[in-house]
Amino acid sequence: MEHLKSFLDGELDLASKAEVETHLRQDAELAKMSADFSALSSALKGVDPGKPYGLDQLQSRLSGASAAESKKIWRFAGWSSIAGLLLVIAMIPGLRRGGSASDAMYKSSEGADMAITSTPATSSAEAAATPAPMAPTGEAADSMPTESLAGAPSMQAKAAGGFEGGERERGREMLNEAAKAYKPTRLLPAEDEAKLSIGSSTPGAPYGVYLEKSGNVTVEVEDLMRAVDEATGMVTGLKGFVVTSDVQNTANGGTAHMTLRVPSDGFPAAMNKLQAMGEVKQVNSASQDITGETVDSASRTRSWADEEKRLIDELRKARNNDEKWRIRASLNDVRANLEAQRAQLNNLKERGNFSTIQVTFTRGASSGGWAQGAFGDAKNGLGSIGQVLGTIGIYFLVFTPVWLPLAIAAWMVSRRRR
Amino acid sequence: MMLLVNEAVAPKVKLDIGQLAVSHYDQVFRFCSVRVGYHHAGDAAQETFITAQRILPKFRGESKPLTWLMGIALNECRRINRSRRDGEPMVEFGAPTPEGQIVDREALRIALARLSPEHREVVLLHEVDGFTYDEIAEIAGIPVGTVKSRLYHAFLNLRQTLAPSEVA
Repeated sequence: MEHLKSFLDGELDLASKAEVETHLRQDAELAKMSADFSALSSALKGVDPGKPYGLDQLQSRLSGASAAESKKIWRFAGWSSIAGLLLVIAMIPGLRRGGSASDAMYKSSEGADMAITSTPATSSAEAAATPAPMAPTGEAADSMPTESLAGAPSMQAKAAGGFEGGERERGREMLNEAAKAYKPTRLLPAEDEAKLSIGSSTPGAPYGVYLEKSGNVTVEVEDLMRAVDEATGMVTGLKGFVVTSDVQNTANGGTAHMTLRVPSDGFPAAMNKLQAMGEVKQVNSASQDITGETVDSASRTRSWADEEKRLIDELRKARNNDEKWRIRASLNDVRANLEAQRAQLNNLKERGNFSTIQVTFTRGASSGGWAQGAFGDAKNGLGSIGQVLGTIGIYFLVFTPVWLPLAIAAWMVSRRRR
Repeated sequence: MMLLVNEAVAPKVKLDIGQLAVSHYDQVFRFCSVRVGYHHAGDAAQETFITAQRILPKFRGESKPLTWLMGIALNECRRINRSRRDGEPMVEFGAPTPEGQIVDREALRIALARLSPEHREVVLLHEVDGFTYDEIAEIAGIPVGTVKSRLYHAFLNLRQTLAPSEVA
């Protein structure tokens, strides 16, 4: 009689209730059970849970939890702000790099302009000193020697018109067009040009760009002497030579310093081979644009050569000894200058045709090498962390006008909420 | 922390955990005291309200605030009892009443302790806490039919355990 308990608790509908009542009247055992259930129920009502305590504590906890929740939100907001700030800081170098990249592109473009213009600039040493016949207003136009357009007067006029509006890009385009249209006169007779030819032109540049390349590489090797021999063999194979070699081999390690000169065309291969000889500790390379110096030197050489030729003609035509002595004296001076210029040009040719590589081979101590390496790595790591923290601190300091008002506002709001 | 409760339950009434604590703390405390013992009841009741404060935004107002609180309290008591080494405490009775005197209280405590947790729970919810079958179904998360059945069988067990001489 499962409904009995529900009946006693008043949880039955009328029909079921009547049915149970009927059963109770007819069934003595059921009536006894009902009485027992009622007695049990009454007894259970006597359970004493005790006097409640802790409401005050709960209320303070609830307000504390609310404040903590609020604090949590503010803490989250604070950390988010800091994270955002750090993100901005992290992005700034990237943006600056991006800006630098575009600047570099622009400068590179300008550099190309310079390369375009500098070669024609050597067509006349005197022309460099003459005032520009036009007055370009753009930056590119400012850096453009006027003689570069001497062979293309129509383009010069166009370019001048374009620059007056300050349209740098347009000016640069016109400059390039002018440079393409311009046919440079020979600096020297063909044979002298061949003699004076230096360096290698950069592919794609309208006129030659002459670069002096240099590299520096530090490699840790197991056998110093073997590394020196290999480097020497490699340089010789590239038709270069060893300028200096200094080996200090001790029981606890050692170093070998070498200065190598390799043909510029073989510079990348030489650097790669040196780096493949051991564990690279440091490597860098650089290129110096010596185009200006080279074409200037070539121009002066040609001028002195022309002067020498003119004096020789005058010497042939001299009518008396006094005139001959005077011309010979001038000729001696001119030849001295010509030799000096040729020497300088040869030096530039050497610098352009050959690249310099400073290589250092090191060998660590046989025992405790890993410990020293680990110590060195740890020291470098500590230095890096310090540098990073210092950088962050500097950014934090510099950005004080940005974050400090926000932090103060957040603090005041949180305090008011409390 | 305020929340609008479903109109079906409490039309246009904002549920405030502070007010809930004031109005229902004693009930929650007694509820917990019966299940975890008097000494742990304070912690259990407080944790119940702290939990309620945390999950208040999730309260949809589909049940009465009290039954919602008791559901939380029930889980909190179970959690506390699970972590106890000495097992669930036995219920304590207060001063004898004229009706209660016909049942041996110590025997009843033992009989209650011998019930299965499910049976004991419905007995406590109904006889001690005074909830209706529907409310018990909400708090315990079981159908009303199950509540009826468990309650009936729990009483049968109690009656058998206490023996004829003990009851009436």
